[in-house]
Amino acid sequence: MELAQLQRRASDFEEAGVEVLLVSADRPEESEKVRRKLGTEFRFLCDVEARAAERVGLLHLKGHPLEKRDIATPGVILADVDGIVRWVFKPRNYRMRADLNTVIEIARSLPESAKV
Amino acid sequence: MIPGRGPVSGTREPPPAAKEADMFIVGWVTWLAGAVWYFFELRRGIYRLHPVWTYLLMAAGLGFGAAAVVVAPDIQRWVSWGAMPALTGVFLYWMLVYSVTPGWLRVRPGEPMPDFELRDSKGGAFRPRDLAGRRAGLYVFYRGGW
Repeated sequence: MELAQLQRRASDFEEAGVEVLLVSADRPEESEKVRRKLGTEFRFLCDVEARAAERVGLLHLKGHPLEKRDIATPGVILADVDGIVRWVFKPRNYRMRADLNTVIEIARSLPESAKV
Repeated sequence: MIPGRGPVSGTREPPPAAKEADMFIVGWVTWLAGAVWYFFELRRGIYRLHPVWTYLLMAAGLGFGAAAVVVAPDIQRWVSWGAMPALTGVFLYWMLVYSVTPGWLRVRPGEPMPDFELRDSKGGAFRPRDLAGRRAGLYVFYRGGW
């Protein structure tokens, strides 16, 4: 999914009681620039040293094309309100994206206890 | 006709190899249609590991172009046509090699979300456990905004 497409479906995630967290190795000022450009209230997390990416297995060593530093490779993880992972998506090619309708459908199907 | 001087009127230069030129243009247009189609689908949110129509259109374009230069060889046309397989090579390298992502997801459904601590773009601290009991979390890892 593209960030802009996510933003267009923001209300669906809100209704499903899901907080969308966008994680990249961008520095805070870079992430804030993207956030403003998108005009979104999604939270942008700055994994500058790619430690979170490493924890979940989405590390791309020296993957930054310009700075040659570690970055995250694309992937999506949906965790419920108890912090239990319910769905994951890891494409083998970064051109591929998770299907947004599928993600929303799964988010809606989380147990009631997982919703606000 | 004046003897020894050839025709003086009512004659034309031989026509250029119009058909070959047309085929050459058709080749490029077909190839470009394949490339445009791929990006058009991306804009519509359609992601394909192997965009078959793009491959077919590019192959057809290469074929038309090759036929045109073989039928009417011309150094300018050879050079111009040569760009087509070169661009195809770059496109295929990007599609099949460069965009392959490393990593082996360590989390599986049913397991707890790993804990980590990050700052958000506004300077606030965040840990996955902060959401516990409040909201579900959709963690979208992406390559960056560069």
